[in-house]
Amino acid sequence: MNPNRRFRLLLVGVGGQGVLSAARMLGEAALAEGKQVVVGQIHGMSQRGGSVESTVLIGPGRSSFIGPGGADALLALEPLEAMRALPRLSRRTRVVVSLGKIPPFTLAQKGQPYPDLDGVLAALRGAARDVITVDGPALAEAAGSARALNMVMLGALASLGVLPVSLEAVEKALQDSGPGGQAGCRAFRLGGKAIAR
Amino acid sequence: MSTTSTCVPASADADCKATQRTEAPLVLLGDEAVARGACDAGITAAYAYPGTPSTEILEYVMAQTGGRGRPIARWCANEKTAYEEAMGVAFAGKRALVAMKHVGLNVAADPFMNSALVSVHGGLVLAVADDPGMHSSQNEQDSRWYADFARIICLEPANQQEAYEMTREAFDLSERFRIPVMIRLVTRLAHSRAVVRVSEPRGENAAKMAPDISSWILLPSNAKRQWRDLLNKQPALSDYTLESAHNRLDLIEAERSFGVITTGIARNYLLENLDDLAIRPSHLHIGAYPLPLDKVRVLADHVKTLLVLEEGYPIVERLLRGIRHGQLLILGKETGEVPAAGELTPDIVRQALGLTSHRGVDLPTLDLPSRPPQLCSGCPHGDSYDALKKALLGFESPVVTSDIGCYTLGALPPYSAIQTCVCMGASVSMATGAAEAGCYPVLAVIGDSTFVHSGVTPLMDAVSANTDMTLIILDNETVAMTGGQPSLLPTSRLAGLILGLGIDPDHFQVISAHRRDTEKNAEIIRREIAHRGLSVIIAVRECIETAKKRKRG
Repeated sequence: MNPNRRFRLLLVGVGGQGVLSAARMLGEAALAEGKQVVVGQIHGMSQRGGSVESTVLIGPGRSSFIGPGGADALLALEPLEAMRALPRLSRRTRVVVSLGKIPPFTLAQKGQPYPDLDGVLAALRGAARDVITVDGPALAEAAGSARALNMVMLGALASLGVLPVSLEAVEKALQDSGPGGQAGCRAFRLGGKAIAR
Repeated sequence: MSTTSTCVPASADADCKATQRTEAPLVLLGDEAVARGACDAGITAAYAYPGTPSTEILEYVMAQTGGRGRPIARWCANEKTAYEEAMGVAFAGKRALVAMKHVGLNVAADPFMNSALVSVHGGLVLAVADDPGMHSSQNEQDSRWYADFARIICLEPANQQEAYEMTREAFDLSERFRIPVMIRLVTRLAHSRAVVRVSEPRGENAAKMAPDISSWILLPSNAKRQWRDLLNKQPALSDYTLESAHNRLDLIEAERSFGVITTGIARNYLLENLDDLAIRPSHLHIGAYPLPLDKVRVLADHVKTLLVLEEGYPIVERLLRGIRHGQLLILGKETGEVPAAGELTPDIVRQALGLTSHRGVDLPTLDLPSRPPQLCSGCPHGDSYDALKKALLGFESPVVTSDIGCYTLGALPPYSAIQTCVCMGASVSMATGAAEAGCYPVLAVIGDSTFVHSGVTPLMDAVSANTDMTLIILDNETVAMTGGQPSLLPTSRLAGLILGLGIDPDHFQVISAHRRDTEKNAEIIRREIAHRGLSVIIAVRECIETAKKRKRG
């Protein structure tokens, strides 16, 4: 990978899914490898079950934005949230998306169904370089907890080899992250294996 | 400036130039970089009221404090008390940091404006986080105006490393010029992480009373002298910002058509687009205010068109208007090249520079359902709103004023239970006004922390007039919205405070905000509405999130 090019990862999901901590771990791993890194995390009202996004930008550059068509990779912890990220995808974007749906409460209020999943995936495939689907909730359960979703998904993305940081650096960052670090590390590996298979 | 690194502990007047320490770099939020800078500058204490995007400043200082008890880090009743406590530390000759969000500075405006007149000898630094784009705020006011209003120095970092270094420098400047100094952050910097290299920490100041006590007694006779002093300092402040490396002018001699002024994080967006420009424009970056006027003049004289890129209000742009009138074209938010509302983005800056926008994928016509935030499942506020809605059934036009916190989400479906949210504490005072305007029934809904922040004083007005209204305090025993900071007053003492204000005990009720009590609670609310005078109800149940956290340990 060209060290003078900035790598831009967009992470999206729903409040409570652990988008921000996944981004933070990746930031720590990049730092440990001596890389320049910026992690953006806009939250506040979004903590209460709203849409959440974070950005991880590794390499030269200072802002925390990913503009139109600017994402090199998208890690989506929820399919509908992946759709919201479409304007920032391009033909070079690698997408990893969890298939676990979290219907927004606005749908139930209007008596509407969740958008057709095949349609969502087709739209993503039409926009990106490729789309890897992962049964995130099942993997998280296998890793021991629904809360492990963010780490299994991060593991899946990392195993594609698209990140400019090594698997070892991410695992080390997870292990050093305090209580729950070991469990996070196991979930990260499990996510990676699921893709390798 | 001292060039040694052995400046620990330092005297109040020492101006330490710290050397780079070999400690491993950190990945810090902009907020955390400010906090770390303050800790390494030898603060004795830090004070704050939580508010997005500033909350993580005090949280970081608290984490640094650990078991040592130093520096002191305290959540306060509101931003005004926080600022005044920091003033007290400075009065004793020690260094203090006070942190808040932009609208919090409105609350602290009284001590802030007056602190510019006293002669500060222990460093006093205000870190204020603005929220352009209103991610989590009710307006996008620009705190740089406040710094100008108070005639003090404002430092505006463009990245986390600058946030660290500028905060350290701010304490030195405060003691050098004997004024409070403002560090202005914006959401995108406060809430993004980047690598920060810290330098040798400095020790605390020794306690030393103000050398001239009369400078702290702002009686008119003293205040007139102090105000003149502050005005007389202005040329020295301007000399500082003119020489400061934070205000950097890159003049391209051969290029006389186009120049750019950036402030704060706007510089990042310019730099990201620079390679795509056919000609490299002359560029002045401003990171320290008051404006470096001579540098501005040099750039304005050099070019024919000047683009101003600043996050927030068009402050520099407006100050520039009229310069070389008819010869210099000034572009920015007032002329429409940059949107007047909302945040800057690299793409907005790209277009303002005349470059074509990067194109992304057009959203398909698929109608994406929105995912707004909502009250958590099992939230006590939801149960309180259910009881409130039941109590109000049958009334034609009830008034329900509300306030700032998680419970503001009661404005959205499925509750649609409240009608106002303006500023901290306004639920109580607006309800008083609405009742006096003849509305009935009138209810005010406020959280326990917001009540302590700014609801107690208007309640005194309501007690004195025995206003015909019912105040419901939603007591979830925490500051939930900003992540669960502890409430200053536990439920037991809250009741004592309210009764002590002189509320009729017959119309003071404490209820339990549980689903199973909805019917009973609705009945109690109905009864208090029927009372044609002031009633106060506290609806108590711990926030579901803090309860979960407590159980997890």
